[in-house]
Order: sequence, then structure tokens, then C-alpha cells
Amino acid sequence: MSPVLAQDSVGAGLAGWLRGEDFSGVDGVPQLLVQHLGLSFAALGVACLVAIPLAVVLAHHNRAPVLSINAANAFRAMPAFGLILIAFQVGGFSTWLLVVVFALIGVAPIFANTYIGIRQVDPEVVDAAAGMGLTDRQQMLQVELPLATPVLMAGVRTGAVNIVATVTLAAVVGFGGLGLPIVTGLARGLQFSEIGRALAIGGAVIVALVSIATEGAFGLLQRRLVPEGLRLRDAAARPVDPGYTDPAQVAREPS
Amino acid sequence: MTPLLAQSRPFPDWQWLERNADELVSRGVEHVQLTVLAVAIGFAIAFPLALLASRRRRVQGPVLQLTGVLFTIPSLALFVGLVPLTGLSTTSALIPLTIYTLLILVRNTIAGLDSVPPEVVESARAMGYRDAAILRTVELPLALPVIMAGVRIATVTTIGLVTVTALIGKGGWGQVILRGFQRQNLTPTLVGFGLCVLLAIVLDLLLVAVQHRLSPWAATRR
Repeated sequence: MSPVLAQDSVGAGLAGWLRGEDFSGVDGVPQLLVQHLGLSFAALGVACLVAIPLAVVLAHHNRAPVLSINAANAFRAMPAFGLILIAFQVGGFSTWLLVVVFALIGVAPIFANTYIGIRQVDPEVVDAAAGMGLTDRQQMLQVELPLATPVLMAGVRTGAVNIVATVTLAAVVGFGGLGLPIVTGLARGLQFSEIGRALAIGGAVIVALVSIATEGAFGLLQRRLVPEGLRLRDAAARPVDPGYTDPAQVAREPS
Repeated sequence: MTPLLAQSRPFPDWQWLERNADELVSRGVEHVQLTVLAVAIGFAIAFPLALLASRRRRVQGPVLQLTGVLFTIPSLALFVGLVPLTGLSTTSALIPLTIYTLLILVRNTIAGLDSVPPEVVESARAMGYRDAAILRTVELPLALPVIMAGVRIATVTTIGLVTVTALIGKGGWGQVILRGFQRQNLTPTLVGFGLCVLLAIVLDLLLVAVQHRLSPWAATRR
């Protein structure tokens, strides 16, 4: 076979793969995308359900401030790659276990940002709410939580992108997802196998685009969820975005 | 698949530890080298970028957006994307590792420089300090805590990312983790993981010590 012909067949196979056909033993892109996002959103959901209520209650009562600041740092020190492989060796292949592992990856930024967001709420506003007779619960849900939304949602966005990016590694332990073509391509040898290269590079490009799209989508969601009053206040207070970010809020890691 | 019961070796596998002590050391050296090189090169690129961005506001948006997009790309994708260009080499591992430090370092360096009170800079200028002297003796010392916070985050993050390069044949202790997984032996996996966490803590404390050494005036306030 001439090299040109070989390239054509890889090209045709690759095009079919993008459309959803099995290509060299790897599921089509739509199936992989569904697996990838399914696991990611399950993990993000668990992370939010655990981290947000815990952080809101702890921050409202001003409990464990040191712990909350250090939690993100401690999590960052644990390599996600090792965490996934250990979980597999200890618990075997189980989708639920993977959900828990990837939820752990999202918990730290969501918890830290929710905590910081609540603590940044003007204490006079909370005092006023208490003075008006709002219960603790009402203060948390009707005053602090809405005012903390911008910072909280920045944490959720960070967590979402971290999870979507890290789920790529789940292919190493036999879960599908968009990491599968990359891992399969690597196993075939990137430098020798044209199909291996096509799979790995194709997978890498797709997973990169999906991560960037996740970041964009959660950016939009963040803007939509911020209460209108806050948006108006911020627009009035800061005509020009100073571009300054509190380093405590940028607890964000690539994965 | 194979849960704990099906491990190939008993846990803890002392025999493995004894036989592979040398390799743990050499992999550790590789791990530290990749981490330190990535952060050092990253800082050499990030610092001028951040300086420019904090002086010229218009540059700031594009610089943060570009480093932000690069930061979002999953590490495995970036490592694999480089292999056809630079092979299964240290370069293929080092370029993405460096790229990932950029956003953290640029953002914190800008934040650090911006946190310097403008009246302090004005006073220095009124006393006849030139721009270079203001930067070296006024702005950098005051921006140091925030810049160092960035260096610490970048270092700890890079230690974790180095493990992923095991999939392209590098990886330091990541290689040990991967081998434990492939041979279904929990000892190497846990040892490699534990050593990574330990290295992160040690380097972080070391950077804190460096920061205190560089800003002795802050120590008395603590």
C-alpha cells in the first residue's frame, strides 16, 4: 500500500469515528463524549452537594477558618493520577468509586470559594437581617448565599473544569470517556502507528475543546446566576474591571 | 476487574521496597528536576509578561486569557500533542509543565505588583528613585508575599502533574505509581503517591522559608 493510500484510509476511518462509528476498537466520539460528561456531571453534582452546604454552615458560624483555607492546599498536593490508580487497585472497577474520586477533585475549590464568598459578605448586612428577625437559616439562604454567588460560582466553574479535564485520566483504569482514544493511541505507539497517532491527537484535540467549552459554559452560567442587584452594584462601583483576583480565590489546578 | 483481593503481591511488599530503593531515589531526582525546571522556566517567562501587563493595562486581558485557555487543556492532551513533535523526551514533558505554571505565576505576579500602594511608589519617585530602582527596592519587596504564593501553588501543582508524564515515559515517581497499577501491586502505587505528597509539603515549606529569608521585616510582624 502506498503511504498516500494508507493516509486516506486513516482519514476516512477518522471521519467515521468523529461521526460516531467504531474506529480501531474505540467507540465513536458521541458515545465517548456522553460517557465523559456523564461521569463529570455526576461527580460535580456530588461535589456541590457535599461542599456547598458544609461551607455555608461553617462560614455562617465562622467555624474552622484555618481548616477551610488549608483544605484546598492539601488537596492540591495529592496527585489526581495517583488517586485514580489507588482507588482502582483498592476498590476495583466501579463507576460509583470513580464518581467519588472525581468528586473529591471538585470539592476543594468549591468548598474554599463558598467559604470565602460567605465570609466576604458585609457583616452589617447580616446584622441587619438578624435585626429584622430572620432566622439563621433564612440569613444563610436569603442573604449570605445570594451575595456569595459570584465567588461561589467561580469555585463551581473551577471544580467543573478540573473534573472534566481529570476524567480524561479515567481511561487509564478502563473507563471510556474522551481519554480512551488518547490512551489507546499511546498504547499503539505514537511514533510508529499512524492510527495510534490519529487516535491520540484526535482525542487530545477533542478533550481540549470540551474543557474549554466547559469553562465557557460555566462562565455564562456564573453571569446568569449572579443576582441582578449585585450586577448593578458592581457595574456602578467598578466601571473598569481592575483585573485583580484575590490569590486565595484562585485555588485552581490543571489536571 | 481486579480489586484488592487479586493483588499480585501481599501488602506491604517489603521485598519490593528493598529491591527498588535505588530506583525510588533516581525517580525522585527526576521528579524534582522536572518540577524545579518547569517552575523556574515558567517564572522566567511569566515575570516579564506580568510586569508588562501590570504596566500596560491593555495587555493584561489578552495575556490572562491566553494563559487561561492553555491552563484549561487537560494535561494528558497537551503531553500527547507534543509527542509527535518532540518525541517521548523530557522536552515533551517539560513544555506542558511550564505552560501550566504560567497562568498561576502571571496572575499572582500581576496581583502582587498591583497590591503595592501607589502613594508608596509616588514617594519613592519624589525621593528621586528611578523606575528600575523603584521596581527592585520598593515594588518587588512589597509584592513578594503574593508572588511567592503563586510560586508555591505552581510548585505543588507541578509535582502532581509530573506524575501524569509517566504515560509518555517520564514521570518521576509517577512511573512508580503506574508500574504498581500495571502489576497490581499496591505497594509501589501507595509509595509513589505518598512520596509525591511528601515532596509537595517539603518544597512548600522550603519556599515559605525562602520567603521569610527574603522579607525579614515581615517576620517580626507575625
